[in-house]
Parts: sequence; C-alpha cells; structure tokens
Amino acid sequence: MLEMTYLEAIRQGLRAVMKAHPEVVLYGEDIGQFGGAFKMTLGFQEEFGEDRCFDTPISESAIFGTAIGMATQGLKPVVELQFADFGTNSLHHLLNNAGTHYYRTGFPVPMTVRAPCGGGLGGGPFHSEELEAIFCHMPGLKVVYPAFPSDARNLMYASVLDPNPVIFLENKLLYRHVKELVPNEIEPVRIGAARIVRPGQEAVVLTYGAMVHESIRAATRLAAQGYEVMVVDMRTLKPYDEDAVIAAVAATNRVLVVHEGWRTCGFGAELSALVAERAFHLLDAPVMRVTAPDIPVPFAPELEAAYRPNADKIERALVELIEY
Amino acid sequence: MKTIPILMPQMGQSVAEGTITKWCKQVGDAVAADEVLMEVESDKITVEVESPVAGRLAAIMKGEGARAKIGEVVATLEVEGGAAAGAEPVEPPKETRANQPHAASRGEQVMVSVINEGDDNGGGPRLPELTRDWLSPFVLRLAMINNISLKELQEIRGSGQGGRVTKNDLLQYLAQRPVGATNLAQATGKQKPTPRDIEHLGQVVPMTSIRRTIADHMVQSIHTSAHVTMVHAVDVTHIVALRERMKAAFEKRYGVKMTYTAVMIYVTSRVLRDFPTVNASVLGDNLVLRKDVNIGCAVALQDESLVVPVVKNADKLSFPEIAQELDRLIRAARSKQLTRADVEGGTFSMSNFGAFGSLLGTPIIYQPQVAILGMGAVFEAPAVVNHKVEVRSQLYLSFSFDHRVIDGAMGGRFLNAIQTRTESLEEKDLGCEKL
Repeated sequence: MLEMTYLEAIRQGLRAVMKAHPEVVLYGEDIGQFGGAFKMTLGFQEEFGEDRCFDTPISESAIFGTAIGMATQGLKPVVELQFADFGTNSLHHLLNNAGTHYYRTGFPVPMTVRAPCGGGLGGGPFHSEELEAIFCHMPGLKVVYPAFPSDARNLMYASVLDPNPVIFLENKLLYRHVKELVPNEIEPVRIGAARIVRPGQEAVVLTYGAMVHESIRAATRLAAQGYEVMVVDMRTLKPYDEDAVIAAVAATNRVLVVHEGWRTCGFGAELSALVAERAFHLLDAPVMRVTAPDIPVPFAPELEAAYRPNADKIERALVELIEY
Repeated sequence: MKTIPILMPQMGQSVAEGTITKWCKQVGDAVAADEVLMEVESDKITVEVESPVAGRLAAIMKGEGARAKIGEVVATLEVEGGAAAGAEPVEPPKETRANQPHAASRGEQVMVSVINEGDDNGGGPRLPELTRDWLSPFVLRLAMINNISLKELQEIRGSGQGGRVTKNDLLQYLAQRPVGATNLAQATGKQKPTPRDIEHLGQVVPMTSIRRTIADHMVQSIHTSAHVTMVHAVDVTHIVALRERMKAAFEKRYGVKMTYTAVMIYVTSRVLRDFPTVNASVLGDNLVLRKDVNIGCAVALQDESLVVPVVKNADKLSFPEIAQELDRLIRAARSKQLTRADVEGGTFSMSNFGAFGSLLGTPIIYQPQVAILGMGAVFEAPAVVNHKVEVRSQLYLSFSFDHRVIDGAMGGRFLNAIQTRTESLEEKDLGCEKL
C-alpha cells in the first residue's frame, strides 16, 4: 500500500496503461515538456518520447478531431482539456463525431478525454465549471468522475482501454487535497458501478466528485447528533449505477442529491427522476437537491464560497430532510 | 434621514412564512428601539417583533392578516442619520436585477441568471409545507403491507413536519402494536408460510400457475354466486339399450364413440333455448341473456389440472356433430393443443363426475355463467315403473345454479325439462335411425 494524492493516482494510472499498451498516446496543450497546467504529465515526454506525449496548438477542436481519427486507426489517444470549461469548443466533435461513430460505421472510437473541472480554487467562470451534465446528455459517450485516489487510478486505466469515447473528469480541488492508501497493483474495475462510502439509514446522499468529501464531512457531523447518513459515490455518471441508487433509497427512504454543478438540468435532475420513476413507493420525503445556483461561477473568493455547495449546506439540507 | 426595512423574522427552521396578526403601531407613529411593532404567527408559534432602532413607521407593506415569506419586507422605518447603536441602517433591497449590462434598454428583462428560491441552500425551507394528513408513499405502502387502516394510521403520533406520520413513527408503532391488534392476515390465518416454515410437515409442493388459477377461480366463484344444487333422477334405460345396440355402427359411421356426455350436451343445448335465464352471464349489475348456446365441458387432465373446452353453438349441431366436436376438444385438451378459441365463450357448463363413479355432486359455477349441470354415473337400480319394481338404468343430474338470478322454481322447471327430454329421446335424435 502506498499513500498517494488523487493527482498522483491518476498519473500512475496513465503511466501504467502507457507502459502496457504502446498504442496509447497523450497530447494536449502544454502537456509535453511543461508537464501540463497541473503537472500531471511531468516527465512523461522524457519517459515515453515525443511521439507519445506531445504539445498541441491551442485548439480543442483540432485536438478532438485528430483524436477521433487516431482512435479509428488503431491508437488509443488520451487528450487533455486543460480545463473542462474549454471542452465546449469541442462539443461538435464529441457529440456528432465521436459519439455517433460506432453507431454510424461500426468502428469504435477508443479515445479518452481528461478534463480537470470544478471550483473552490478561485478560478472564476472559465476555469471552474462542472460540465458533466452536458457530456452525459450525449449518446455514445461514457462519463467517469472519481472522488478517491484508488478509484481514480483504476478508472483511469479502465477508461483508456474502454472501446468507447470516455470523458474522464478530474476534480482539480481533489488533486492535492485528497490522499489515500492505494494498493500497489492496479485493480481491474467496471465502469458503471457506484460505491457506498459511508453507511447509514436515516437518509442517503447521492453524489460524486468533490462533493463526496463534503457530504462525508456533513454526515460525520450529523453522526455526532445521532443521525447516520449513507453517502453513495456514483463514481461513473454514464452509464450510472441505477440499481445501487434504488437499493440505497430502499435502505433509507430519504434522498438528497448533491453536486457541484448547476441545478437546472444538472445530473441531480437525472438522479431525482430515476428515484421518482423507480422508487416512488420507497420515498418517505420528497427528493432534495443541493447544487450550485444557475449562475456563472463567481471569481471573488467570498462569492465563490457562497456559490459552491459545501458541508454546511449539505448538513442543513440533511437536517431538513431528516426532520421532514 | 434613512429608511430601513422591517423583515419577516425567521421563526424556526422549517417555517417558510408567517402571518401578521396585529400591527401595534400605525404609519407615522414614532417607535422606540425594542418597542413591539407587530405580532406574527407561524403554524408553530406567535412572536412579538420589536423595532431594531428608534424611528418612525414610514410604510406598512403587509397589513394585518397578510402572509409574508421569511425575509420579506413587511414595513419600513425612517430613522435619523446616525441610527441607534447596534442597528445597521440598510437600504431596502431593490428589485433583483443584479447586473444590468449597459446595452440593455430600460425595462427590458436581461437574464444574467435565474436564482430560484432555495437555490442558495442557505437554510431557507425548500420542501413543501405539510399537514398531518400527508402520508408519504413509503408510509402508505408500509401501512398496506401491515394491514394498518387509514383510521389507525391517523391515530399514530407523528413526529414529522406538521405532525405527519414518518416512516420511523410507523415502524416504532408497528414494533409496539398491542398483540390483540394482530393484522388481518394473521387473524384469518391467510398469511402465506414459506416452504421453510412448513417443510417439517411433509413434502412441500408449490402450486403451479394453472393450479393457482383454478384455485382462485373456484374461491372467487363460491364468493360470487349464491350456489344452490338440485338433483333429478333420470331414467336412461332406453338410452343404455340404444347405445349398446348402436355404438359399433355409430363409431363406424361417425368416427367417434357415442358417449353419455355427448347425449347430455345434446339434450341440454336444446333445452337451454327455452330457458334464456339459465344460458346467461352476470356482468356487473346486468344479466346478459346469451344469444349463443356454447357448452363448456370440464375435462380432467393427467397432471391433475382441469380445463373447460367449449362446444360452440351446440344447439345448432346434430348429435353426431356434437359427439365429434367433443371428441376433438378432449383429444386437444389431453395433448395440450387447445387454442384460446376452444376455451372461450362458454355460456353454460357441464361436468361429468360420473366418469369416476360418483352419483351426485355439487358442481361450482364457471363465472360469469349462472349454472352448471353435473352428470353422475349411469347405474342400475330398482325403480317403480307402472306400480312394479323393475331394474332400471338411472342417471342423477346435479344442477347448480346462481340463486342471485335463478329461483328454485325456474331451476326445477329447467331440470324437469332436461329430464323429460332425455327420457323421450329417440333413435333419430341421436342420428341412429339410418345406421
């Protein structure tokens, strides 16, 4: 077992899959010699050569278009969006080319998009966004969003080898803030499985990404008041683990959905709809959501703190839900 | 001079709004700091709201009896420039149009953002307010599973919002429920035991789906119709003799055996035309006098299940045709080749339990029909004929009818007609005159 950060875990997953599979290539803005905006790929160019880890012009559209081409020709490209926010420049390639390619031609597109996302670092409106709902809305893509180093490493490895285009969301705040003892060996994992990260029976928090940690914090505080709250880390948003959600509702009968992204048409709306459709008879209270409001991510630290969901807000919502 | 707003105060975590029950000051009145301005009532408490500073009541936006959301401005107070210590004079909030880009013309709604109520998750109540009457889907389900009536549910003390009964309240109640108040299923012994519970009693054979269907239908029928059974003894000596004489020729001519069941279907189909009330179905509150005479005939199968194929339009078929159709249906039933059409549309049913030696029985009506005729075994017995005791072949007919729609007199007349017609059967009726 090794203690490592979320960032280090992703790096190890990437390095391992590059070593084992020569068809894996990495590219993106400044990821070569500079090692990436977050130093994720520092040393990769030296280790794997300029053919397998290189810089690109500042054009997300070009990065994605070429990746789709490479993927159809036998490579497994892993491209980096310096910030997930810039992914909107490449939506046409994702939606209409990558997402539809297998459906149209029968040829898969095994590409992976690494997308650092999320706020809490004072990044302002263009460097803090949570765009998972947009990616999840598109047919043909998988969307992975780990919250812990071990999951991040295993899912990184699995995403690169997956035959589908995979959006791999990395929460920037977690890069250096979350550490975990991780087994020496990478374990094979299934994309699409949620995990109960905290048991409880009074209510369940369905969440992912950085909010898993805020939710655990809130649940820990409530435990001191005698309320045991379950926290489920979705880990994968598409496909997502419907049965785990229903099982959690069956065990608790009260549901709080938490995510860092915007409220309207957010991923929480999907989870809420699922619960309403499949578990209506199991509900003892309406489904609640704690999300960001529908406004651009504020730049001022005080405003961003007010904008972003956190343990306090989650705790308040849980109290209301439990007292309902 | 500055104006400060008076807001509807927070009166507890789950309270969304309050009602102003009384204004203690009128517009224009001078108000001292900490002097009571108004009384506010939520569904939980009544509070007096004091003025934060000294000043003059400038305006009242919410009059007595009006409701206001927590944080909503209900009045404004005019205060002197440097207001009292501890009270921060603030501007009343302007209409929320946070950012007005310069390009926007006046009055045009520019959507920089939409902030829905509760979006900030700042502790304001966001779930709908409840009353005691509200029962969650899960509580209703739990109550149903445990046979808790709505009345009983309403008597449980609720700890949820507005006093509603929560899941935990109900679970606690169920755990403490008095032993006398066992649920209906237990009281009537209908609670379904699992095979594990009963395997010590002997071999456990789960019912097949067809057996469960039969079981359900039988019980449903018993609970639906007012069953009455009448029995007539019919002298069939001449039919027995006829059959002995003709059966070989009949089979040779028509390819099927001449059976007593076919004989009784033939007779019954003719009599039913004169008794429309017996050839009927009860559908809702209506008695439907069926235009066709389709006679179902119970057939026991090897696997101990039961099917009732139907001889359609039996009243329009000759006796040999009835015998042939019955033979086809029985063969199809035994080889599991009956079609849906073969078992649908029955208007009356017959059961030949005499095949197993029984003399009489009390057959159960096949819903939604209103009557069924049971045939016993043909047997020889002493009978009085013309004041002399003779050995005669006899057949007991057991007629069960639904007393909801058929009275005893009608049942008796029907059975009498069957008897008369049977006893007067001739060769030509049975297609034997030219054999």
